[in-house]
Order: sequence, then C-alpha cells, then structure tokens
Amino acid sequence: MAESHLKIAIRRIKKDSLAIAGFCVICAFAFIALLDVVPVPYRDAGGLHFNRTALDYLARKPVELSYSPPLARTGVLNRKEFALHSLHLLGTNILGEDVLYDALKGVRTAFIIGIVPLVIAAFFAIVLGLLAGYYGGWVDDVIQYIYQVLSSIPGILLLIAMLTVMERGIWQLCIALGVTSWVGLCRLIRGETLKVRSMEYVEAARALGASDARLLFRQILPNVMYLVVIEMTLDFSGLVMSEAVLTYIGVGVEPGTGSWGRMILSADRELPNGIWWNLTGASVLLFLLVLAFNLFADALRDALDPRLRKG
Amino acid sequence: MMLEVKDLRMYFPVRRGFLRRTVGFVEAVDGVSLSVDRGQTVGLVGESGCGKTTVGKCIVRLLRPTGGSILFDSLDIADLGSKELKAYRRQMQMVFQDPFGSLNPRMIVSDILAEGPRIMGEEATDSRVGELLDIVGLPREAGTRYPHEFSGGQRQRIGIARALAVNPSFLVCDEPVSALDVSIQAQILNLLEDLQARFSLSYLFVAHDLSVVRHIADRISVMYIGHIMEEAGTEELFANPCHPYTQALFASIPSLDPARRKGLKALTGDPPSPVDPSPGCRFASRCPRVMEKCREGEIAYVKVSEGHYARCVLYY
Amino acid sequence: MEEVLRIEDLRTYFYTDEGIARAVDGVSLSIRKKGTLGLVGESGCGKSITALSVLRLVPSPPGRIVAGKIILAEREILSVSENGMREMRGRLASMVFQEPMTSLNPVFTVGTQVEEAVRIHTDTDRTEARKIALEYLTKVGIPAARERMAEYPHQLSGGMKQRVMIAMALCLKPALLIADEPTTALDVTIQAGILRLMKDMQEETEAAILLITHDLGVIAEMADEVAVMYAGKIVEKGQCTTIFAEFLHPYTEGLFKSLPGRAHKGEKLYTIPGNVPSALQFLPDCCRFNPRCPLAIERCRIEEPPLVHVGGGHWCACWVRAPERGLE
Repeated sequence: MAESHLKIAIRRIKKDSLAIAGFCVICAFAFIALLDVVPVPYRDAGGLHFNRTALDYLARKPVELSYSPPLARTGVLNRKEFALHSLHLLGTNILGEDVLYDALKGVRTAFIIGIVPLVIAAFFAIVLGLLAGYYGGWVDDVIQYIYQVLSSIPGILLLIAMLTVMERGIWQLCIALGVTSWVGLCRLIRGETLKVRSMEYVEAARALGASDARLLFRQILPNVMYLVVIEMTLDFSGLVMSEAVLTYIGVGVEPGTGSWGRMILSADRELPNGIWWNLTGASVLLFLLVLAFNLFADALRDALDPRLRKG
Repeated sequence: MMLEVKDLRMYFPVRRGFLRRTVGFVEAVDGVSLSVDRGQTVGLVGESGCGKTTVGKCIVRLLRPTGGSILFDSLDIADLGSKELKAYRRQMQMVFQDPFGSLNPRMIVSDILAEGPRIMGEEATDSRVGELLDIVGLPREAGTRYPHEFSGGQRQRIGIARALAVNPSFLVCDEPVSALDVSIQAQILNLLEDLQARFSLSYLFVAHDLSVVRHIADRISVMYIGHIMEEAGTEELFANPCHPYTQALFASIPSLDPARRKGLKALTGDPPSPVDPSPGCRFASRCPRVMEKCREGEIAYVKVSEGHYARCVLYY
Repeated sequence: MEEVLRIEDLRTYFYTDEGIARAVDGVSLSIRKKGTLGLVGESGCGKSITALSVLRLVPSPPGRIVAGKIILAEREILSVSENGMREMRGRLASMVFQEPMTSLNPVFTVGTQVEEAVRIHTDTDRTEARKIALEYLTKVGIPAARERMAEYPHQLSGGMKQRVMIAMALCLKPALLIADEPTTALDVTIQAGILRLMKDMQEETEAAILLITHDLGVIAEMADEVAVMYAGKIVEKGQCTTIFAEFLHPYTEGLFKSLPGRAHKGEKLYTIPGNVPSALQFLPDCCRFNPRCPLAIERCRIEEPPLVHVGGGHWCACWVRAPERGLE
C-alpha cells in the first residue's frame, strides 16, 4: 500500500534486465554456498564421525590418482596413463580431486570473504562517520586524523602485517580486511551526515526534545543507510578478488578451505605443462560472480539514489 | 503575556585557521525585543538574511542565544540547560518552511506524528494519530504512507500536525506558506487560523510576504539585518509606515491593479554584511533620507504613537 | 505589429515509468513585438515546459514535443535541425531562469560568461566580445561593471546574479526574452529593481517578453496580456486589464479570490478545494478543472470546453461562463 523506498527501488531494478540476470546468477551462487553450509554428517563403517556438507554430499567425486583433462577417460601420472573412476566435467587437479567440486567449494569462501569484512567495516564506518559528521569540531578532527593515517598506509602491507601476526584462517582474513577497509565508507557517511543533520526534519525532532542519540539513530541513520547498501554491493567483488590475490601471495585462507585463489595460484606450475582446466574453472566462476554482482550493484545504486527519485 | 523576548542577541562566530580561532562575529540577531499575548499572532517580517528565522529558532531553543532573555510564561528559557528545557519543549513548537525537507523521508506519517509524544515519554496511540490527522484535514489512511506520496500542501499539514502532537500553546511559524502555491496557501492559512481559535494558540508568524502577514497577524515587527526597525498593530503599520525601510518595502510590493501600476521603486545598493557591522543604523547605506546622525552610535527605539515604535533618527 | 512568437496547439508529453505525463496539452498563444505576455499558473500547470518547448530545451528523453507549431521570428522551430536550433538560441530567443544561484557557472568569472554568450553566436573576437559584455553589464545596472566582471558568481548577491543573467540573455538582442519566474527567489525590494530593469531593457531592445510566474502582482506590473494555465491547458487569456477586472474562468476567479489581500482580517480566505492534479492524472474528454469547480455542470464532466472568444480579445474555456461562440 505505502510506496516505501524499497518498493520504489525494486520497481526500478525490475526494468533492467541485465540486473535481473545478475541477480539470478547471484542467487544461484548463493544457493551453492548454502549447500556448502548445511551439514550432512555421516559415520563410516568404523563408527568414525565425519563432517560433511550438502555440497560435499552432492558433488564430491572419488579421488583419482592425479591430473586428468575435462571429460577425459584417462589421466596421466608420471607420464603413465591411468583409468578414471568417474566422469569429471572440469577434469582433476594434481591431487586427483574433481576441479568442478573444488571450484564449487570456493563459492562459500567467496561469499564469506565478500560479505563479512563489509559487515565489520560497516560497523566502524557507521559509528565513526555518524559521530564525525554530527558533532564536528574536535570529534571530527580526531576521527579524520585516524582515517587519514590509516589510509596513508598501503592497504596490502597493513593486511600482510596483520595476517602475519594472526593465524591463517578465513575469519582472521575477514577481520583484517574489515579493519583495513572502512575508511572509504566512513568518509561517505560523514559527508551524508553533514548534509542530513541540517535538514529541517532533524531540527523538528530536536525541537521536540530528541536527544542526540535519538536523532542519530532514528532520524539520521535511516537516511544514510542507502550508502552502506550500495557500498556493500560494490565492494563485494573487490573483496572476492582480493582473496584470490592474498592467497596467491601466501596470506589467504588456510589450506583445506575452498579457495579460488589457491586454484589460480597453482596455474604457476600447471600452465607450462599444458594443464589449463584448474585455472579456468576458478577464473570462470570468479568472473561470473563478480560480473553478476557488478551488474546488479549498478542498477541497485541507481535505484537507491535519492536524487533520482521523483517529487 | 505569553512570550516576551528582551534584547535577544545571537552572534555566530566566524572561525578561521587550523586552530579555529574566532576572527569575528556574524551579528544575526542584535538586540531584538518583542512580545506575544495569549491567543495573539505577531508577524515578524523582513527580507532574506535579516535574522527573522534565527529569532524563531532561538525562541524554540533550537539555538542557544548569545544574550538577552526569552520569558515564556515568566520563566527565562534563554539560558536553560537541555534537561530543564525538556519540560518547556512541549509548550512551544515550530512549523517549518520547506514541505519537502521538513519530513523524514524514511518514516511513515504515523511515526512522524508519534515521535513527539514518544520523546516526551508518552504513548502515541493510533487513535491519537488519527485524531491529529483529522484536525489538520487529512484522511486517516495517510498515517501509513510516506511523505513523498503527498503534495506540498499536504506535507505542510503533516508538519502542523507534528507540532500539535505535543499540545503546545505557542507556535513559531517559519514561513509556513512561502513554498506553496497561492490556492494551497489560502487553505493552510485558514487551517492555522482555525487551529488558533480552536486550541487558543499564540503564533509568531515569520514571513517575507507582507500580504500574507497582513491577513493573519495582529501586530507586526519589521526586521532588517538583525534589528527591529519598526513595530505596530497591523492596520496601523499599513496605514502609517514610519521607518524608511518599511516604506521602501511597501513601495516594492506590486499592486494588483494593472490600471494603476506603481512603477516599482527600487532600493539602491546592496544590504551590508552582518559580519562585524559598522556602527549606527544598518539601513544607512541605502536609506533615501540618511543623515550624519544615522551613522553615530546606537539608534534608539522610540515611540511614534500608541503601540507604534520605530528605530529611526527621524522620530527622535 | 508583427508577431514575434506564435504557438499553435503545442503538446509536450513526458514518457515515464509511471505513465505519460501530458505536461502541455494543446496550448496556443502569441506575442507581438515589444509586448509582454504573462503566463500564469500554479506549479505543475505546464507553464515552464511551454517555455522550454519554445527553445526546444525539454529534457528528452523522457520529454517530447509531440504536436503543434511554434513560429519564432517567422521561423518554424519544430522542423529545424538541432544545429540550427543551437544557433537560434540566444539570438532569436533567450531565457532567464528562476535560480540565479545555479544558472551561472561557479568556476568562470562573470565577465567570461557574458563574453562566452556573445562569442558563441557571433563572429566577434575576444576584445569586441569583452566590450559588448561590459556594455550590457553596465546597462543592467551593475555598479563598477569593469571591476565586477572579474568576479565570480559567488561574490555577487542574488539580485546582481539575476542582472548578469539578464545581461547574458539580452546581449545578443534577441527578439524574444523568456523569463521563467525571474524574481521568485529574490527579495521583494530586489524584485522591484529587476522588474524595472526588464521593462527598461525591453524599451531599448524592442524585445518581446514571455513572463512566466505564479505571482499575480508581478503580472499586474509587467504584462500587457495574460494567459492563465491549468493542467496543461490555457483556460483564459486576454488583455491584462480585462482579466484582472473581469475574470471569467472559475479557476482564475479562485486564484484571485485566494489572495490574502482580498479578505479582511478575521475573514476566511477563499480556497479552491482539492489539489492540483499531477500531469500523470490529467483526465481526457472533460474540463480538467471540474473536480474542484464550484460551478461544474454535467457537461463539464463529459466534454472539454474550447476557448471561446467573449469579446475584446478575451478568451475563456468554460461551459458555464463562456458557453457559446461570439457571446456578447
């Protein structure tokens, strides 16, 4: 009934078929990631308990001896051919694992790396951005000083430093990425807060006796949140790609976790030997997910932009 | 007397440099006095930059005045801290100018109306919200909608309802109809008059449109660059404007009769800056009747006739 | 007297997500040399779009001039190419907008902008253009024009900026000056000066003026002829003195009667009930004012009234007040 901003945004996005396509692709990937979260544990003959997810259940294939090209019948190990137990759509890697399975396992990692750091970053950015924009004066000065110092340290060095101190792991990676990437969003929120705090509706609430906290959370924050949503959709792809880079330089997720970065890293040794399918599998999925997100994020940004709103 | 403002001053510091040193002051309001009786409407007119909106904001304590006193029911609220102020907030509210900026676009109307009572610590029932909408002439369904679904006039009604939600006795109306079309303007003015009669409200009506103020105000004060230049009962002011600025204002208003065109007389020069102004009358640089005396020291506010005062050397 | 502008049955529509907005829906008017036509109406009536249509400045998409004829200084505007149009803007007709704040480019000096306007349309060199700029800036009453030319827009007051806009608009001596709410954003004492300036410049350049405003006082001071617009159509037009003294259309009547000056203190102001419809909601095949009209009869709901000549150049579109042709 009421035409909320969400409804208006949805209506606008529906017009953009590329965005809808992007959204569908994202949903497909999200589904895969979910499959990799749902546990389907089992006990083997000896009574040992194994953890296993739905994705494992559905897509894991028995391990072969070593490399084999996509859709092949035989693989090669030490220049000797061996027969394959099953059909591998994207071939197998050095450990004989199905490349498609490996690539699909990377999806959950991609989503975690794409979203969790942003949630962490958003927390810092919102709190500090609101405070800096609303209070101004020395509060603003201190916060600006903090983020100016932070942003003058090359991000990659800071990340490496943090990750060297912490253990390797996906959650440590998320924290490090989150803590080093809140500055851009903070600036945006500070700017928007400056603009919103002088709007008459904020003054009206102040005239009614609202405390600063109430003004910030009830009046100002809802009007700057759209920036957070947009930023999150834009940064997603960057973060997913950064996992690949970080794994490549050795500070990414721990071994054993699905990682497109690790697959791409192995191209170093594989490509000279004519083994292209490992790299391709990871790259294609990475490309698809990032492209889909970018298409959707563009449309979302236009849809949420208050300036494009009528009346 | 409901509200008495005495010698109100609001100076904004001009800060420069790394350490934000204060290098001067914008004397937005420089010694303004006025009073509003219960049930009365006092008009405060002047052109942009004269400080009239600042006066309104000081009265509802959106700003903390630099000096002077604001006596509301005999209590000086000019210097009260925010805790003590809370009790007075509900008695005086403000209606804002911009229908497009004065309502939070992310809140539905019923939440906007309920916000006031909630801040005061009260329940804001559906029926109370519905009642408010009735009072301002909007349908009850309006409560579930967002501000952008309404026209300018309807948004002003919502703004008025918001102010009324806490049962104030005094309203500062800051150019409430300036942004509206003429036919809607009339609706809102009628509404304000109805509400005044119904709830015994007192108004300080800030505006730049003289014909609107003439219709609604009992008394009018004319402001120019931080000073009150003239004040009088409405009809007296229009019949007998004394201050040269008031006269210039009246002379610039187009008449509504093409057969008797006034050939509008314009004021020469630009208004002076309110930053660290020079001594004497602030209108001196543009006044057609300026004299030596006008630039010396403070100009006194003198009585011209009963209830009619002017800040001008001509009437010493 | 020759006609500088003639508009015949102009229709400008906007094709939006939410439907077709018929912003200008059959508008006809004309202005003669040295004349001033006041186009009056409230927000959303289509008066600004009419003005933009004359200069083909309607944002497109989503807008489009779908029908009608516009003849400006004997040239058919709608069939001219975009290049040709560009040459005509500024030369044949120019426009002054409401917000002097945003109409001037903040990164160029005032003098440069006026010069630029001259050089775009004529073959003059910089020195010559500078001379013309200085001449017009002086004419529009900017004191110490030579010094002011080197200033940036933010250093000027609102009134001064508007004067600069007028200088830019008139320096090419266009046949038509379109002024869209030129004084609405200005204080009343500044407004007086700008209106007087426009009148003086009109005397000197012999330009015609299309003055768009919602302010009846400004119309009374400036216009020879008036056209009242509502919901994309002209509902009444005629000589200014006639309209002010003998308005016929119920909407015009409502506008006049709603003015605060008209009621005595204590009396209620007359109001037109309801709201101005949005251009997406314009009803076809009826009088668009009928939902709010105190005089509406059955015919008003089913048939659109044409503009009827009621005598002395006074036209009105109303079944009740102007029912037949040639009513005397």
